[in-house]
Amino acid sequence: MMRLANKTALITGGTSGIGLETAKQFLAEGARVAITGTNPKTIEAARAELGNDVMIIRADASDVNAQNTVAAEIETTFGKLDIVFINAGVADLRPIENWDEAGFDRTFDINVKGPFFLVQALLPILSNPASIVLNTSVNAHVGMPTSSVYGASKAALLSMARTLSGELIGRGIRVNAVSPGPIATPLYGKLGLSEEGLNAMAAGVLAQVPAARFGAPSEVAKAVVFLASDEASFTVGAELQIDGGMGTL
Amino acid sequence: MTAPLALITGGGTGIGRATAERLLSEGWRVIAVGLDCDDDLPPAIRFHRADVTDTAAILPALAGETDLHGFVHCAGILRHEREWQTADFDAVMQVNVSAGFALANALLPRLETVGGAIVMLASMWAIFGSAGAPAYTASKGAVAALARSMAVAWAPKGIRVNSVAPGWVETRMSARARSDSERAQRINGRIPMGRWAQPSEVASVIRFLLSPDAAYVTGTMLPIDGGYSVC
Repeated sequence: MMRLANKTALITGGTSGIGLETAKQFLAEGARVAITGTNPKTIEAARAELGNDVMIIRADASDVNAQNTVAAEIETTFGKLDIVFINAGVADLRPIENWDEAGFDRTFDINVKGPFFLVQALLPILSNPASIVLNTSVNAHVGMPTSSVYGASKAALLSMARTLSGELIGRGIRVNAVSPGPIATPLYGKLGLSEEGLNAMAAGVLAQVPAARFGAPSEVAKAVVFLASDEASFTVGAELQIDGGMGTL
Repeated sequence: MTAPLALITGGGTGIGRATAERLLSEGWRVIAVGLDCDDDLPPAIRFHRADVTDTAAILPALAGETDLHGFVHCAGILRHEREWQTADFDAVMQVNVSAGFALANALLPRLETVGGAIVMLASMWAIFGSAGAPAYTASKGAVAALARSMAVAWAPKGIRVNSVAPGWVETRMSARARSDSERAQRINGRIPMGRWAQPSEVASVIRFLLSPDAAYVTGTMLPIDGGYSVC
């Protein structure tokens, strides 16, 4: 199917994991795609995997000024923008005793502040109709230990799926959220855990997933394609959980 | 490989019919069951007339079929102004909730064979109150809760269960609200998208939830309401 033919799309954090997989599926559905990333290594790997037709913007998702730059570059290259997948995020998990102000701010800067000001910066070039999909998390709902700051940041982003819907639907912009449960992505490798610690964590998480497995990035990407496409033309302010039932148990 | 098979209660009219047509267009085989069907229902949709609250009367529709890839419980009734009467309350719960529960249980072996998926029709009324329709609202809240419990119970069998929560959709059920122009205008003004949904716009979401595209989605309630429930 070519559900996104003639559409232009931006994916933040598009060089690995869910973002990279979504970029592949957007391309397969006929969209022109831009992605953002910060890590030169994964940027190069993404370029090799996605090909030269994909626009790659090096931008720090926590930096408000950088969001203006992203919008300017998109305008120069695409002119207008039909689809935004705000996916860049950080999962910093720590017991409450181990948090300091800088760490707290970093999580909120990347997961909440950057996304908010990116939407603001993109408004002048967003089409009517347009679709924005926010990547939130099952952690907005479940009381997982060590997820206090991460969960709060995702709950804040989820709230914006509703409030920005109310504010932007008059301009034809649909805002929705996807909330992944445990997905097998490089994110887990960034938690700084030993292999033993990772295995213990994986077992603990799996015990809470009715589907008894981790999801794949492609399974989240398919939901994003759905919400981005006209298939979801009457779906506004919704949260689609892709969590194998974890948020339900 | 034979084409996937779906059973849709209330599949002869409205959202159920739109879902049947959508699945047909993608190569599914569809059996619709219920008491009503449009005169112009495409013959490719196999319509089996039976009361959905009578499981024994429904199951013959699946004679000769061992596998079921999709079950959609779309049959629903609304008894405006009468739903404060216990008998009417019970009748609404019977069709909207209990029938879906009984059928899902009866269809479980067929769904398990092929890792099938279930979609239950909840409603935005699952989260709002309605002075005139206490049974309808209670039934739709129950549908969403039932879908969550079935999702958790049957995930180990490889069966996914979700619900959708349509807002204002142009169907026969909502004709009464549309025919009152003052009320219709009030409703339009309350929908952020400023318009009602076509049944096909609900069907496309049900189709997504039934498809492998939603392979890790279970237990969710997905609104299709043009933003009605966000403001």
